Amino acid sequence: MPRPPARALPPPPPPRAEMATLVPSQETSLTDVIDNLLNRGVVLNADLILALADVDLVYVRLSALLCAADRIFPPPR
Amino acid sequence: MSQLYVLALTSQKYPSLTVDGRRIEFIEVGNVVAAIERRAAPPAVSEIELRSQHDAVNALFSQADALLPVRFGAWIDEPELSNVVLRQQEKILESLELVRRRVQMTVRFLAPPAGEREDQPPRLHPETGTEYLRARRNAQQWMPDEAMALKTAVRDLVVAERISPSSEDRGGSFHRASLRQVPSLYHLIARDAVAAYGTATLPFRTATITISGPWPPFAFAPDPWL
Repeated sequence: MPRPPARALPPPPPPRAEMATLVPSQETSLTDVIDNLLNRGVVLNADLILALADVDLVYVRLSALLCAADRIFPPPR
Repeated sequence: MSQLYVLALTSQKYPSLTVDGRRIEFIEVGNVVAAIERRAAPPAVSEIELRSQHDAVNALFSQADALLPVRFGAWIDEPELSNVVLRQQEKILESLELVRRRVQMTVRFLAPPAGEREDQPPRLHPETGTEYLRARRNAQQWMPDEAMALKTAVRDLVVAERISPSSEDRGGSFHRASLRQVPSLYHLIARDAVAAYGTATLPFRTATITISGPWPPFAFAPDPWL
């Protein structure tokens, strides 16, 4: 009686290194390192929160100041 | 006296480990666990330090099911850490659930110099606060044409998406040759979907689009402003 053909094994999982090839170059990697660590991530320090706000916070405060000034000073006659 | 240098937040304690000479411990802060180093001084910002921390976070990420990296420079004492974490604990726990067993893929678009293409991002030249906020919102929502096709191609793989505004419009000096960087997309996908994501985005890898990852979910931390 002929032996049944051996069952084909499923293809092995892709090696872990294959994921790393999605990072195309060292230059991009440095871009990612900087972006990931300096622009992203959980913010824990109060002073860092102030630092990262940079121009946005200035604008928010300026807007608040302008709004407040609008209400403090009487309208021109 | 040494303070804590916080590298990441996780949802459970892991054994201490040493990465690149850095001894990393896990301490509980409320219902969150912080991956910390004890340091006498914070690290200076340098490429070596950034790469070292990135490697350390990657090493932690390979162990942890759910991990939120902390922004560079989080050198604080224990009471302050407790204070900050407990204040945001609910949002941190929600974010940890979102990123559990998932990774971040980053898509960056590099636009040719202004004038060479029609779909340019809106510029920020406001004269009032309202104009600034409107222009900023438009700049954040703007995407080059290729982005929409890419988003469609990976739609079934993406669990969550974040968009960052152009670094140029934020006043940054992020230039690469004559290309200007425009908004980046951050996609959160399942850890086992990386190969599929790579295949789906293969047609989009051009001189003006770079796709990198898988990374720990840096862009999926809770927003400190919300």
